[in-house]
Amino acid sequence: MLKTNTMEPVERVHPTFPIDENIELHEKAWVIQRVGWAVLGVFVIMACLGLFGTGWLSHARLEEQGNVVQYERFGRLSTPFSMTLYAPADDEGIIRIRIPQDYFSRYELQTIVPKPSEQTVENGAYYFRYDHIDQANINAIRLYLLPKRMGSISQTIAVNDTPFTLTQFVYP
Amino acid sequence: MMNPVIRGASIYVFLLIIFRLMGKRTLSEITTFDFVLLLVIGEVTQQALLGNDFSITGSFILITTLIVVDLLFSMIKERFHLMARITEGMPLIIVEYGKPLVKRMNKCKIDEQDVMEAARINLGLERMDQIKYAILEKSGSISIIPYEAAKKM
Repeated sequence: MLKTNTMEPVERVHPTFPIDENIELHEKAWVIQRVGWAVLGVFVIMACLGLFGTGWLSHARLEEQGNVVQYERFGRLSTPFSMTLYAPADDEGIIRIRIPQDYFSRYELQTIVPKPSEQTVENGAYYFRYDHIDQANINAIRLYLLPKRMGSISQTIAVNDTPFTLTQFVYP
Repeated sequence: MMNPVIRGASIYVFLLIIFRLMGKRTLSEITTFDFVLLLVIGEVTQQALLGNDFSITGSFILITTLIVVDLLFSMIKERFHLMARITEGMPLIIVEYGKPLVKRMNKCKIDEQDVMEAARINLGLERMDQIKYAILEKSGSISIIPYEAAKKM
């Protein structure tokens, strides 16, 4: 097949029969089609990079005073994702986690591993407490979450009283 | 969970745009792999449409939504001819007086072999110079007007 310049106008014809061929509209459609292909390519690249969750752009890590929160910036509605907390136990072997109730109005907590020793609700927040922690046995606490509503959310959770503000966006 | 009507309508519009961008030739000449790809697309679409809603009411809502959106589009296309041209495309002459219109063919990703195949299958023609006009139709098929037929008109 001979290659031609994509911007070059195509051949004009003068058919001897009636035909609904609007070549100007065809040319516009071809330009839009090429732009559309480029958009689709960018969409796939951005999806690979994690703009729609699970990838380099989505993966976030916050660290303060030895406490670490790893979470996804971008999620998709009804598609589960995990959040991992790394927290050193205090002198009494206790780890405390505080998550606002508002956060769970947006995300359904499917499970938390390992199970906390105590779970309470106070002042509009859930408190998860791990007692008698042997740091050698527990190095990470994982929350498996299911986004229930789309849109952006910014909430502050606390790990061992260290606040972390999580900003997330859930796609439809 | 998103409202099923919004879900159904947005998937309809997305599929309309994506298949229009793919071009009419892409799916008109279906190979075995294209067929498998279509099945996979159908499966992914089904999951996106239904989500976790397997109720009869949910399926009634979705089927009705898809039909209503399709009806709306057909009414709009009937009323506004330009809309029909945009969503369905238009026929395009690709051979004139036995001469392949290479620039037009390149734009549509078809070659002379495709034209000759259509000429052989439909009319038993052997050479390009027996074709007066070849037209890439809206459906993606190639119709051939041979010189003899043109003379009869």
